Amino acid sequence: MPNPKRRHSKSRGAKRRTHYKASAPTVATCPNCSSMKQPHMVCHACGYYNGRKILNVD
Amino acid sequence: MRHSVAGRKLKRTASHKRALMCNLATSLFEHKRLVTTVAKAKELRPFAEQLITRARNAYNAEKAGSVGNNGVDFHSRRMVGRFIHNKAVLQELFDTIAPVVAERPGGYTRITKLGNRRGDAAPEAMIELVDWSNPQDGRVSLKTRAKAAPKPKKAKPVAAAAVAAAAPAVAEAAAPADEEVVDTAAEAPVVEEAPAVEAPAVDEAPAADDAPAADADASTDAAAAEGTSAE
Repeated sequence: MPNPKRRHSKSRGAKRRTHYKASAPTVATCPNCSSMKQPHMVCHACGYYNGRKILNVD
Repeated sequence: MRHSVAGRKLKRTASHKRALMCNLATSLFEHKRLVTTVAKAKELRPFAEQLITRARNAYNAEKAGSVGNNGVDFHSRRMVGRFIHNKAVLQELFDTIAPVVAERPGGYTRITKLGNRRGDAAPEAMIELVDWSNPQDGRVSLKTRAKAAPKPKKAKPVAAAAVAAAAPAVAEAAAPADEEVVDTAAEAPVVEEAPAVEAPAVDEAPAADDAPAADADASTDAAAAEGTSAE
């Protein structure tokens, strides 16, 4: 069976993983309650979307 | 390559997928609204709308009297019945849904994204019949809620009553008696009537405005009763 010839240092692995990044989600302002919400999605603070109440948030 | 191959696999075989669509469409016609994943909702939309169109065309043909068999379009019922195996729901589709959407040129459903599901973070959406989507089940329209701001909980039954009262006014929209079918045209009467009904209640029980919103419904009723008896 083939095996690695050399030891893989912690530094080498860490350097590879410098490109693993979390990206911030896009947020918009809810036109109904002015809280932050994801665009094209029901507002989880007030339950409104497109001027209509979709969810009962209590 | 799978170029130009429409539709989603949904990790199912073709027959499994067909069965899933049949079940989802049956639930949609029965309950008028359901929550599922975005992918399933988007896949369901054309499937369900084709069935509704079939029922709508059958209804319009029956109304025009251009069908034999005592004016009943059995063929359309059987063709839709290949996908809707529940006879009660099939009847609901042809007798209740079809008359309401008779004048609607397609686009009977609306998909609203709800965010990711707890557990597996699957994006969820609500798919609903557009004609059954207006404020009901305790939901209030934006305008009604803004005008009835002091007692939002109290406004819900009032708004529901106003909608019921306004229903005859919009009867030309072909609303069945037991369903609250109110399109955007019905928004205006609801908004106009709600404050009128609301105003005296606020005047009689000013103390109720300070009640916490959470138990406003119960405590407001009690406060209103006490207020009127004290006066």
